[in-house]
Amino acid sequence: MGLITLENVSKIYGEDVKALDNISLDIKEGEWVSIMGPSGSGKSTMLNLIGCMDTPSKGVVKIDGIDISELDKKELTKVRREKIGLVFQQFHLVPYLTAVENVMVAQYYHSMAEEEEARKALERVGLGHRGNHLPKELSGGEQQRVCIARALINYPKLILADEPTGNLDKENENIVLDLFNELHDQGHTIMMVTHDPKVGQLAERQINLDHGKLKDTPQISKERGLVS
Amino acid sequence: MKKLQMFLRMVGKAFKERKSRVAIAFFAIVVGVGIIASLFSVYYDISIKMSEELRVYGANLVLAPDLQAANKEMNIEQLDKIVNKFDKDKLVGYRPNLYGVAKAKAKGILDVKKPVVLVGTWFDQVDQVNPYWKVEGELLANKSVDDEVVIGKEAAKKLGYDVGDTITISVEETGKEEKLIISGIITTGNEADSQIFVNLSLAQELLGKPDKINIAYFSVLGQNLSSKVKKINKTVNGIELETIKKIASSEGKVLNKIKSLMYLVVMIILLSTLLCVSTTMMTIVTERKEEIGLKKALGAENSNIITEFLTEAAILGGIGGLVGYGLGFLGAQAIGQSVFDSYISFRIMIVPASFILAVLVSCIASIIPVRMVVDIDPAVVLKGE
Ligand SMILES: Nc1ncnc2c1ncn2[C@@H]1O[C@H](COP(=O)(O)OP(=O)(O)OP(=O)(O)O)[C@@H](O)[C@H]1O
Ligand SMILES: [Mg+2]
Repeated sequence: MGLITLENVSKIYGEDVKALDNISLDIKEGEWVSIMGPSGSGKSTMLNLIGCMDTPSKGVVKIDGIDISELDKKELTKVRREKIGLVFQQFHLVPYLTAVENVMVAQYYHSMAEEEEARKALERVGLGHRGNHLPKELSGGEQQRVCIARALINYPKLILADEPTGNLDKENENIVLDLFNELHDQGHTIMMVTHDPKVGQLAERQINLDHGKLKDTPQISKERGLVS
Repeated sequence: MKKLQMFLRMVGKAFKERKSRVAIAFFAIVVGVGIIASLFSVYYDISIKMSEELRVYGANLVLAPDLQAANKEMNIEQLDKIVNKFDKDKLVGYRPNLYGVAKAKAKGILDVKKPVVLVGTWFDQVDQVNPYWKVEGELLANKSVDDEVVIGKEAAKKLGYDVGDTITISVEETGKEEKLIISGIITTGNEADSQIFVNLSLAQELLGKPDKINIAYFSVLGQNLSSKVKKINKTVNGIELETIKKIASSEGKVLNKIKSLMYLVVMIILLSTLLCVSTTMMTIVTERKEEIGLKKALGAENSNIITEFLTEAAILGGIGGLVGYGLGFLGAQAIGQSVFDSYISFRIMIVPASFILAVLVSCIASIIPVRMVVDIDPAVVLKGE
């Protein structure tokens, strides 16, 4: 059994918007999976379910053995806090807190706010010297690296990223993707939504969504490391 | 400990981020609490000040022999006994009177004698008990002056005397006669205008009633005088203390009216402060929706975020309350100076009361905005704008 299991999962908004339609999926620990597909195909919806920010209309979602379909909001928050690191397309940093404080926020809600550790995490993403800067003083790529540091700080089993390079230029995209590569090498499980086939190919496995359904994909994992 | 540090760091920076909004809520609390604190400071003092002001209108208690008493006289020791029942600082003054009928020679060469009411009293108490007396010339300097007299304006007119004249007074029953210099003429607006006043000791001698008095007027401060009077009356025989109703009850009425007016004003101010803080907090929560969603996505529970907001509200309220109190106290002084011509005393109790009130108002005002926090979905952050 994998780290993430989806069994006949559907997510229906309102009466008839089938954002996800009867999906079954298994993702093993340490895997890097990219989720691809056209706009509106249900990629973010899937990530939301796995990220414990929503529950499925039908079917079962299991994270690390826990069936989250039946959990209430508070319990979902707990699973998310304990097991998942999130990286967003729009960065999402608290604007009035410095880079290091933004990392500490995640620590704070998880357990303890340790400034030392937060600074180390920033060093890991190459921002050791920018810890005291506010988000608006950082470039987009740097902001995204702060987000990655924040996603890593509590040692989550799973890192979920929704188009983490969607707002970045080529150069910054490469820096961020290198980071994900590193994380993968260190054994993190990664699920990444992307529009860019080149980015998608970095993963060991690609999941193609179309109108909420899984499209058959050649399960060949390409040589990794194309980008760097 | 580190958790608390981080908590305070976040709360502090959140404040700074929204300076102008926070300033509006802060200002509302300062003004609200300031007005309330000054009202209460003034009100606490007002009852005392009111009594003092109303004392200008004269005595509020009268002591006389009760109905059963055969002659309408009492001994001066009985007066002393009553006097001892009052606190020294509550008793503004008291003035005994002994009445008798005498004859006064009218001015002129003819030997015309007219009957007058002769009153023996203490002139040093007039200021305290009858402050409204208008005196032309002077009252008698002390209790032992025995060759001077003060006469009422009507009596002076009837007999044709002026200040500085000498008047001859005689009492038929005792056959005593005395030549007295008129040191002052008084205008009182009541029966005293047609009476003639000498020192109590002289009157007792002329009327042959040593140590006797008929009545005594008291000017006493404080509330609940009537119950105090009842208590005192139970301890004495043959004499009775009574409140002079007119002043005592109008004093109470005025105070009650001020009190209800004050409560009304306080309610209105509290309500408007509440509204102002509440709408400001609402705006702040709305503006920070994305941040709240993000924090939830990072694992914050509703209770975490609610605590953050309520702490912000409490700090805002606490500081606002103290600043408000400070301004309120200054305001109270201004009111005290302009209305009562005196300082309003500092009451330590109003400081914590203002503080607690402001914290409560601020937190209560935040209840509705904070409930909006619960509805904010962490998924909002995953959706692009
Ligand atoms: N809260 C919602 N209420 C109603 N419909 C929704 C909601 N969220 C998503 N949908 C619908 O579900 C479908 C899938 O949305 P989703 O956000 O998963 O797409 P996506 O693959 O992430 O698209 P994109 O590449 O544009 O981000 C869309 O048709 C969308 O309109
Ligand atoms: Mg999406």
